[in-house]
Order: sequence, then C-alpha cells, then structure tokens
Amino acid sequence: MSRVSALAHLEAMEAMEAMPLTRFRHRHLSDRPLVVIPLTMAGEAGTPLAVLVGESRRSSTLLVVGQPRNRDQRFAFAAEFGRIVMGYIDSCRQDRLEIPSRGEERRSRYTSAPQILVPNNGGIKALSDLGRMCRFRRTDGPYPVPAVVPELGKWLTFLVETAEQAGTSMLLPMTGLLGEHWATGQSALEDQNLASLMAWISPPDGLTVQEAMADAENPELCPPAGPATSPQFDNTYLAPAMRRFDTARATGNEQALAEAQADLRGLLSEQLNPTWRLMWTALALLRGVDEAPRAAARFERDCDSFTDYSDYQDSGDARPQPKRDGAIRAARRLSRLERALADFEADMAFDDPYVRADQRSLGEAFAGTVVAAEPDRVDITASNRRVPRPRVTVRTLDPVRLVDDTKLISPTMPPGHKAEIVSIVRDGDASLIMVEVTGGMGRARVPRPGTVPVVEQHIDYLPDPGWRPTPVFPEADQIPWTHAGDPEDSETMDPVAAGQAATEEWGDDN
Amino acid sequence: MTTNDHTGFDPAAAADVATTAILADLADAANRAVVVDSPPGAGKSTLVVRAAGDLVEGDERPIIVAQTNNQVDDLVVRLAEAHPDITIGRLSASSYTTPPTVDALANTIVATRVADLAGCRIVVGTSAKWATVRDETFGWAILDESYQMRSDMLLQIVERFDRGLFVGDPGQLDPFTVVGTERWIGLPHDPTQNGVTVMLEHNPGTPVHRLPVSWRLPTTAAPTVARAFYPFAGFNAGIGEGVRALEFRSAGFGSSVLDETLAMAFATGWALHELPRRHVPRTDSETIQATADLAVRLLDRGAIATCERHRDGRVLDAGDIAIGVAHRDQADLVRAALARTGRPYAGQVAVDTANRLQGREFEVVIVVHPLSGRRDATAFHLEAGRLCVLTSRHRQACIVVAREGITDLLDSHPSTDAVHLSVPAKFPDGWEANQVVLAKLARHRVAA
Repeated sequence: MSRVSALAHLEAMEAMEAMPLTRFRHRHLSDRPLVVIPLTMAGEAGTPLAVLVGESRRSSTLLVVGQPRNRDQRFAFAAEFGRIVMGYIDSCRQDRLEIPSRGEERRSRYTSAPQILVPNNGGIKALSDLGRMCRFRRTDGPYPVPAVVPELGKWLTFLVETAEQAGTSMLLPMTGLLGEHWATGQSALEDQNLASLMAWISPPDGLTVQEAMADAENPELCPPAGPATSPQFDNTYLAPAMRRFDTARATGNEQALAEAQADLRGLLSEQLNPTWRLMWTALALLRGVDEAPRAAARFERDCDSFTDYSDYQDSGDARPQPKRDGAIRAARRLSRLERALADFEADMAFDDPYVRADQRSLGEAFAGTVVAAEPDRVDITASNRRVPRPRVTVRTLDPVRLVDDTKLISPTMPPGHKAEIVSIVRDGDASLIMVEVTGGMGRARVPRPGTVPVVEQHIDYLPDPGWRPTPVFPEADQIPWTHAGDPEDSETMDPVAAGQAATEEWGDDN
Repeated sequence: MTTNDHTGFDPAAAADVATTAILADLADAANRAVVVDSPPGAGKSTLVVRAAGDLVEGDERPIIVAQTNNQVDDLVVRLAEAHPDITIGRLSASSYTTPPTVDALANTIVATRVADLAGCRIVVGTSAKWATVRDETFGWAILDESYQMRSDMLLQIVERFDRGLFVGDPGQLDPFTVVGTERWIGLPHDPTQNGVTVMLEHNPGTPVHRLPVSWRLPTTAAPTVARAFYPFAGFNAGIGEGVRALEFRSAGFGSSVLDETLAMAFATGWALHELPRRHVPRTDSETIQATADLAVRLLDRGAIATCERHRDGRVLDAGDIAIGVAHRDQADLVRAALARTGRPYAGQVAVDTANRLQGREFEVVIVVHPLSGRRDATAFHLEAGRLCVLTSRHRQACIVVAREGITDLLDSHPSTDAVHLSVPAKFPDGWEANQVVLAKLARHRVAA
C-alpha cells in the first residue's frame, strides 16, 4: 500500500466514513447488467444450492436445488439458470457494427457486451465451479443434459477467464468495484464483506457507520452475501428443510413435496434478499461516480473479445475450454494478463489525478512547475534532418525515482505529447528534472503552439508504458522438447482421447 | 559435504573434475540438455567461456543467452579475451549503446540482426533479444543465469537451438510475476516457474552437475552459506584460511560502535550491527543512517585487503563496497544518506536491491536485513533467495544491520504458505535458512 492510499484509509477511520481513492470509476458499467448471487452447499466443493438472478432491482428470479447432492436436480437447475444467462447473452448479440480496418478481412463487433455482477470474489469462484461442472457434459449417451447446460458451462468459463484479466468489465465482484473507488477504515479482509463495506460507504438511513457495521457482522440481520451460507442457518433451518424435501420426494407425497419446496424457497430468499438490495444500492452509488475517459476504450476491447468468443461458439467446432492450460496456452495467457495489468495501471494513472498522486508518492511519476525552458532547441537526426527538440526543466518536490532516458507521457499536455528525461539534479528537498520533448509537436519545423511547456506552467509526467512487441510462442501443436512430455497435456491430446478424459463418473446418488 | 576441513581437499582439482565431467556430457550426443548448478562465485562465467570455446572447437556455432545487457557485455569481454582468434557477435536491441569496454574489443561485432553476424562463431545476446529472432537455428545454446529466466521466456527462444547447456545458481531469487493467479500451480509447465525447473520436469534424464567450489566466498562464509541455502548440494571455499585478510590503515580515535562492528567484521568475516529493538517502517532512518555510516567509516579509516590476487594488500575504495537492501525505497534513502556525508566517493558505493545485486561481487558487503524491525514475516521478506543473494556477494566480509528481535519474529511467524498438490516442497526453506544465518550472526553480534 502506498502512502496516499494508506492515508486515505487512515482518514476514513478517523472520520468514520469511506474516502474516495480515485477521482473516477475506472470500470464501464452496463445499463443493463445481470446481477447474480450464487449460493453453494457446504460440504461438497462447488455444489450449487441456489441463485438469485435478474436484470433489475424489481424483477429477480430465485432458482433452488432442493437436494444439491442429487446430480439430476443439479443439472435441472443448471439448465434453468443457463436459459436465463443465455437469454441475457443473446440480448447482447443484437447489433453488430462494422469496424473500419486496413486489413483485407472485414471485421465487425457487437455493440454491447454482457456484464455479470456478483457480490464478491467467492461468487466468481462459484460461477467458475459451475462452469467447470457443466462445460464437459454431453447431450447424448448416458446421463444426457439439455444443450443449454454445456453452453452455459462454456460461457461461464469464458466470463470467469476474462475476470482474471485486469481492466475487463464482463464479470465483476461488487466488493472489488467498491473497494477500487473507496477506502474504508477496516482491513482488506473485512472489505470482502459486502454488507460491512456498504456500511462504511452508505449506511442505511438512521444508522451510524458503527451501528451499520455491527449489523453487518450479525448473520441474523445481514445474512452472508454467499457463496457460503451461515453454518447456523445450515444447521437450524436448511438441513431440516432439505430432509423434509427428501422424505416428501421418497414417499411421493405431492402436496408435502410442494410444501417442502415452498419452505426451502422461502428460507433461501430470506437469505438472499438483503444482499440483492445491497447489490442494487451499490450499483446506484457507483453509477453516481463519473466514468474514467479511457474506460470506453477498454469496453470496446471487451466487446471485441465477446464477439470473438461468440463467433467461435457459432463456428460449429467450438470445444469446451480444457481443464488445464497446456504449456503454450499458459504462456500466452500469462503474457496477456501481464500486459493487461500494466496497461490498466497506466490508463488509470493517466486518467486519474488521485491514482497519479499515489504513483507520485512512490516516485514513479512526478508533477511540478517549469522553471526553465529552451523552446527553440533543435537536434539533427541520423538522417541529417533538423527536428525541434525543446528542453524544459521541471522543479518538483516529489521523491522521483525514475532514471535518465525514461520515456514520458503527460496527461496535462495535448494528446500525443512525448518526452524523455535528460537528467535529474537534486536541489535540497526538490528535484530539478530536465526533460526533452520528443513528440506531439506537429510535423512542421517549429512546434505547434501549446505543444511545448512554458515557464511557470504546472505539468504532470508519468512513464510511457509504450509499445511492446507481442511475444511469439510456438504453435500449440508443436510443443518444444523443454515443455513437452506431459501425456495429459490437453493440447497434445487427440480430440477422441480428450473426450474420454472429460468423462466423469456421475449419476443419481439416491 | 559442507565441511570447513581443508585437509585432503584440493579445491582446484575438485573444480577440474567437475568441469571435465560437464564438458564430457556436452560432447555426448545423447544429451539434449546439460544443467550446471553453481553456488555463488563458483566460476560460472569461466565455465561458460570455456564451454563456448570447446563447442567452437567441435565445429559448433553456439549462441549464448544471458538475462541482462550488463551480463551480456561482461560475457562478451571475457569471451573476446579468452578466445582472441574467434569472432564474437553481440546481438543487441536498436536502443543499445555499446559500452567502451565492448567497443574496444577487436574481435567483436555488434549488430541488431543475426544475419549481420554471419561471420561470428559465437553469438551472445539477452533472452529478450533472442525472443525476437526468427527462422534461424543453432546447434547449441548456453543459457547463463537460467534460474532467473522464466519458463515462458524459454518457450520463446527454445526453437532457436537443438541442445542447451543451462547454467545458473538455484539459490538466488526466483523469477516472479505481478499477476496474481493460481491457475497454473502444480502444472509441470507453469509459465511463472524458472526455465530450468520446467525443462528438468519434462526431461528427467538430464545430467545435473554441481560446481563444488566457491572462489568468491571466504572460508568464514562458505560453510554458513552452504548450510543455509544449499543444504543438500553443499560446496567448499576455494581459497584456504589465512589467504584473505582485512586490516585498518589508521587507528580509530575514540571507540565508537561503528569501529567495534568493523573490527568484528575484519577479524571474523561477519558482523551483526544490532540496533535497539523497535517496530519500524522499512524506511527507518536510524537503520538507513547506520548502514551509510558504516560504509563511510570503513572508507574513511581506510582498509587494506589481502587476498590471492593482491598478496601484498590493496587499499579498498568505494567500488569495493556494496550496500544491499530489500526494497527500492530503502536503496534511495541509503544513497541519499551517503550523499549527505559529502564524501567525494559517496556515489561510487553500489547501493541496490537484492534483485539487482544478483551475480555481482564485492570485497565488503553491508546488508540491511530484510526482516529488520518488521512486525510480520511475509513470504517476500522470508524468501531464502533474497537473503542468499545479500549474504553471498562478498570476498572478505559481510556486515548485517538489523533491529534486535528478528529471532522472536521468526519464532512467532512460522511459514504459513498454502501447500499445493504436485508442487514439491521448496528447499531451502526461507524460515529455516533465516534461522541458520541468524544463529551464525548471533556469535558476531555488536550491540549498537
């Protein structure tokens, strides 16, 4: 934690209210997100128990698995949930826009992308487990499932994988969204609790932050936001209700079964409804924060990857994502994730003065006043051309830790402005940084007006993340000798064997 | 194995035996890869230079892959001097400026494309540069510092060569990623692992050699470093007792604690400069100041170092001293503290983090202990590689600056890292390595 964010947390604690950490909201928010609150059953990893899902505060659908240990009921639940999710995804596949491109291939993309909001990181894990459970299932042969089940599995897996990538907005945890923008006076672990995070940001009417926090920790008043339920609830209410459901089903008593089902639904909706309301309140709060300028470009990249995956699904030979990444796939993904993270951090710093303050406190960016300028300086390039290379000296009190020759960009100059550090001289507590402007001055021999900083001007600089070549890895079917040799490597396996490996023992336990 | 007993142990002969065995395995066509684990200062570069020469004699055209431009430049200079009749190619990025030491070499060509180095028998470049080369393959590659190369980087360059000699120090810092993901944990081809581990996982028959002698570490340091960081392989100091020594040029006026610490380090090769117990941030000014003061005091009083290279002694200058820290902001503060002393040599003392001191060598190293003054022992601060780098850079003496109470901190924070399936337990364990080093330092403690 840097000094500025540590300070924000301390201030929040002293004032007993959440403090903004960023000037903007750096995530795109859809006009029509799908809010999903999954619950899982304790005892068996990744067993769905219930889900509350919907596109608006007033219309939610509750799906419940009466006996989660029963595989048939689980997949019936998955099919129902799948129809809702696929209906939502299809609604994002309505309009396609041609993208002008220089290549021969004409490209187009959907104008929107899905956005699924879950309460916390556990919710993402629950969807990931559900996706893993569904995507290899077959629609024929023994234990067939409806076609929507594997489809849901593949889409959920796709969304969970995008959620790992920094800056994407197709599947987001609400606690993460809030925590990115607000600092509270509690620990990072406590911030994982949606109710207590919301208590800091916007306590319910008539309650102080302290009272709201105390309520948030009481599972009777604020049931956990999932995916795990409170053990007390499990023992006292859930287990007996499930037993009644099982008995009714075993004896074939239709009326008792209907009553037991209604009981279970009532119990679970009591557990889920408070979180549902919190989710929509939090969403409204986040909508009140201005969206960062560069979030739109990131959303377009989301639309791109959504379109690509959607086209792959339509292409006919769409296969489920492998259980584990092969060597090449893993290396490609790591490179993509690292780039996305670096780009997202650079974008945030460029857009947001608060984030920049954080970086400045670490010495990774600086801001100051121009104290000297050589606006008419000219350099001669290797090809014997005279180019303007003005130099300015910036005086700053920031603890700069950048080295000479670092390439810089500036959010306070016109777009395209590029510069390089020539030298840094310490002057007491301050630093005098000589900067050479290298770009963004137009093509003429004299820089366009306003493109070169002038004396007395206040200017911000941060390192240019720049362009990096995309790493080239071997083809996925030609794994080199240093990384090959794992017989279970999904990429080296032929499709028939892959199909067999995906077969799992399962069935009706009862 | 880690004995300090030199009777009947001839370091030069032991090193020779190891080198001969390595070169024999290189010549054996059955080996696709050969791995050489090298403890600190065991003559890794010497081996690389010699193996490259051998391969050229065997009519190969080997490439050498190092991790940083500095490492490549050092290797180029050593290769050019050892093999004056061979033309060496230095593959570089377009933004690279040739340092004078490389520029002065007659038998070296610097170019940005492999095609321009057609006449060179050995081509050297960084792994990042080799990753941009296409459609050209070589028989052999020597991968230097390969434990610091991530396996996804290896994947980008592996198609450039048929067979590889992997040389590196397994005890130093592992490569890392800033992306927090668990999805590859336990996979044999985990892209965040180092290249050697992944290659060995897929090629289990690969011969693994160990260099048995550290020529850098003095007899005072080798047994402790070996026991703490190389518990199974072990190594011996190559230079016998009594060959290396430090003494002051001038008497210390008044008896300050600094002098006491320096005297301890000069006499025994180790010193723990222990500041009073206190929980402090890592930027604690007292610790930083003590570190800078020790360096300045040492240089002001003047130290004469005797060793196998300078039998009559040599006065140490600022370039012989390094200050090692865990974090970049600490390094900045130490540099600032040195600058404040106004000494003309202040800028020449190497002050850097463990990551950047990797592979370098100094006469005396002053270390800010990564756990000094902390309330908790995180995996970062416990990492064995970090302490190993910091305590194995010196030829003469190592001075550790720390707040009292690290032992208690270790005792109240046993390793709590999650244990994952199919991930072999990592040795040395950071917690245990720290205990071994602290136990050694306890006998060289000077209370400040």
